[in-house]
Amino acid sequence: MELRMKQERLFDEDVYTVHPEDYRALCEKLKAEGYDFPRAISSVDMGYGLRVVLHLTRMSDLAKVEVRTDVPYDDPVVDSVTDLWPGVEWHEREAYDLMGIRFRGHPDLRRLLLEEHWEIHPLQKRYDTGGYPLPDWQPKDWPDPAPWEEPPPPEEPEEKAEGGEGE
Amino acid sequence: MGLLGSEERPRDIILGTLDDLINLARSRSMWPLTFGIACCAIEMMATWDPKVDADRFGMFFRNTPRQADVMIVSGTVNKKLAKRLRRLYDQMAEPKWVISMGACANQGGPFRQGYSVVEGVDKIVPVDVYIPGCPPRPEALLQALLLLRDKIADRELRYKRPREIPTDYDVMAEPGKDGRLPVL
Repeated sequence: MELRMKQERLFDEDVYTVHPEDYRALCEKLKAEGYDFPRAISSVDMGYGLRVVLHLTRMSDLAKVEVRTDVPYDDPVVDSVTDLWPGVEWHEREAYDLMGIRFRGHPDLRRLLLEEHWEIHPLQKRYDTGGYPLPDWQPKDWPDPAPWEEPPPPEEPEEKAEGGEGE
Repeated sequence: MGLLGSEERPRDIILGTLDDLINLARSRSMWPLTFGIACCAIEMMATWDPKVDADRFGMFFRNTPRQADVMIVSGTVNKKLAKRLRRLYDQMAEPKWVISMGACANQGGPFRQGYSVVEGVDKIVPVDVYIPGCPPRPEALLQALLLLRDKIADRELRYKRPREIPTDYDVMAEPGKDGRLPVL
């Protein structure tokens, strides 16, 4: 099956940006390629949605990859990879706690740091630093093309008239 | 203390009040609770190192709140810890004293107005001595302990601490919620 994803090279890491439904399939593929050490799961509020970033390392040659996937605010669900790398369990709990990303299939998705009866996810941009909702916060539009799609090739700039700009 | 021995009195008699005697005992055996929260706790440990050596004033850490007299709040108190800190304070036997150590315990420090930080431990427990600094040096903590020693030595035995301990548990509530948390 063709995975809906985009690959790029960023410093010494391969960065995969993948559709959230294919996140799990890509992780299984990377696990089969020998990436055995999950360094971290970070989460980013992109303004249009939430991003999960999974950092992986292959200990044999220290190759590093990042797996990124973006989910919308109203349905922030990705598949859990806890059964592939058990070490990510608390990382996923922390991402759920502070950023509100739900991991489908996680064995014990409770809050890790904050009180269990809290309902907010205070690192989202819709809250101020005190955890109170910002009154005039609005989500941005979903980007087009989507983050996992290749951007269209840049159009050839039209020939500009001589001396039009930059004087 | 009262009169020492003079020509008229034998030299082995000391006159004084019971307040003086008990306060002497209390102020010379202040036992802090082994309770460190953050980087201020490193300075607190250094206060008991040989260089500063608070041991010579009769202060030894006790590992249970039932045997402790002084709680040194050494670090940022967040809302999840606040209930536990309050429970530790309630378990300490009277008389008991609290030292707020460092900017975080005083008013929140650099984390003030964060979603999880109690802005000052005096919203949870009554504080006797505040130490400024981030973190305070061990000498500052020692000075605070000696200030507290003088405060204890001046107190009358009949003195009762006013029970106006802050019970405003709203400071620990989730942001944006009005409801009070259930009392401990």
